[in-house]
Amino acid sequence: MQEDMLATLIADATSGNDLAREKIIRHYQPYIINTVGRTSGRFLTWSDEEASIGLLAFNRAIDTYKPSGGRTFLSYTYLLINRDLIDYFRKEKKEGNNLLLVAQEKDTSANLIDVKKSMESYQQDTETTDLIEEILEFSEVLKQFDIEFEDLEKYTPKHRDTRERLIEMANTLLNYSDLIEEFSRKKRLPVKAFLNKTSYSLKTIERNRNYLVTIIVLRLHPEWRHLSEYIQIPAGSGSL
Amino acid sequence: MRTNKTYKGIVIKVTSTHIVLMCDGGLFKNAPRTSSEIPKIGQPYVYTEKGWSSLSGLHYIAMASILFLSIIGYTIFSPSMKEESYLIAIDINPSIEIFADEKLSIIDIKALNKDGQKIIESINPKIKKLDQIVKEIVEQSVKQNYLSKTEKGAVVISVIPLKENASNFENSIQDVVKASLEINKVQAEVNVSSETKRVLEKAKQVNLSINKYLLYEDLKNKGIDLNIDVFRNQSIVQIKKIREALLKKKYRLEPTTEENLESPLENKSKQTQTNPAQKETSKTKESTTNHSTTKAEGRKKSGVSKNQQDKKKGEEEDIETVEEEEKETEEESEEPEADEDLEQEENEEKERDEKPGQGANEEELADDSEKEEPEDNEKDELEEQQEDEGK
Repeated sequence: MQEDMLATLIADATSGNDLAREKIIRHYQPYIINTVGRTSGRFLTWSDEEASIGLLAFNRAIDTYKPSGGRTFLSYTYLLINRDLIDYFRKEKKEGNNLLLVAQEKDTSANLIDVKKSMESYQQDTETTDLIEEILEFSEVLKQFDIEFEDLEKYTPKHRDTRERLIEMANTLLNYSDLIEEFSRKKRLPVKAFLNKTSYSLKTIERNRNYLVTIIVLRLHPEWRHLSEYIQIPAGSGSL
Repeated sequence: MRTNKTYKGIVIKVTSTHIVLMCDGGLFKNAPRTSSEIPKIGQPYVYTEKGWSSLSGLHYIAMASILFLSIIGYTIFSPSMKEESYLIAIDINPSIEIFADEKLSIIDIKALNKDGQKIIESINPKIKKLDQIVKEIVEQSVKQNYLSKTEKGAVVISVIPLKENASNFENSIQDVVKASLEINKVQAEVNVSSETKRVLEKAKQVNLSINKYLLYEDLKNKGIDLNIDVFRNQSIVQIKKIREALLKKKYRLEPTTEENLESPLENKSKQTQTNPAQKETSKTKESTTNHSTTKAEGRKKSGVSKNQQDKKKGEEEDIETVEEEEKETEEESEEPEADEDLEQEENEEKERDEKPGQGANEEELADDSEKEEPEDNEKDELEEQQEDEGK
């Protein structure tokens, strides 16, 4: 989410606009659950207690975030979620929740190995904030096309040259602004119109429809600098 | 065989079972997630996919067997895979071609006629070096009476480099042959020359050994066009004799050197001269062989005709021929001057037979007949042979 847009949304949310708040939360959902999971050391779903603690922390972050504080919103939320969760774990421990303790102990051993890794990754946090933002936006846009990240693997063609051909095809489509307009508006690939303008086969497009959509979405957001690096194609990429 | 495929990318989502990676080139990959592993979104991640490659066990067996077969094939056929650098063509009468590599090791030996086959069969197969094999061939030729101790034979060797920048070793071969001949107390003219691949190809085209082909070309250049079959069937020493005789006749040279006076040279002239008569006799006595020609034409002629048949008749007759020729040698070499007389006599005799009353054009006719008759001669004999076989 772009900074200025985020800032207005946060401002709206703090002044009582629940829709704006909801929008922010929905946008950062994947990040919240990921952060909660990381801190807890196990995979969590929204039905887990930790997840709701994380969500509450995030909600507080919206209210208390100050852009002038020198932190990005993401790292600020991370900090709050992390702190709240650690507090929660301490409380659980004090209350003698053995079951959770066992789980915690088991996890710490595994976590120790990852200490270094997570330390490094924490240092990178600020640098990767942009990337995380990009991924979150990417995820949100794809959801509009009914595409989930975890399904992308099966949409991805196995062969490199096929992928390259499809990326090229996406580039071709991007040259037609009317098609792009339709694509963005109707949230689906204008297959027929595209076929009329080019010589690609219907079969190829149908078979790789979702992958094409993914590539076009990425191409339509050149501001996602980090993500765009991953779909670099030698020729014809400057079509935007 | 396990293949480890590495996916380098960034984590874009963590699900209950997988870590979704976005990799270079627009590749998305779901990496399986271990329970304790919760990577951060946007974090770089390397996933090494362990698994069997797409090839099944059957494929591996097939590949292994192909590899095995190719190794076996290589070891079996590797000798022939050595590059042939030289072709050494030997003509005694046995015509043999030897293929050698750069280091003059033998790669292959080919016989170009039956006699050559006999020689090759008698050669120790363990011999791998060129000089040894040349020596062995000469020795075997003597043993099998292709080179006689009493008659002067001929050993003609051509060395054809098949590759560029080949070294010359004609002299060393000549020495080897000469030494070998001396040991066996056989006299023979040794002639080693170097030829080019082009000549070899031409020789192959007409199905002659290269040495015979060279003689053939030589004669052709001198205006004497003999039927190629003559070359195919005659031994090299005989061809040489024929050649010299023909040359002598053509240029009407007085025999000056002793070599020229050697009577076997006359063989050819006799052969050509007696042909018409032979033709007649063969026509009258259709079913008879050359042996049964009239005594008047004499044993000389039968000797010659046998020569031409030696391919069919084999060794025994060959020896006979040689012996008969020897006798001639002895008889005629005693009086060198008699050669010319004899020749003229026979010329006259022939012309009397064929075209009585045209004695004035003796010489011209003699020349003409030489050019044409060998072919006729061959034809007739072929017919005769076929008839014989038919019988």
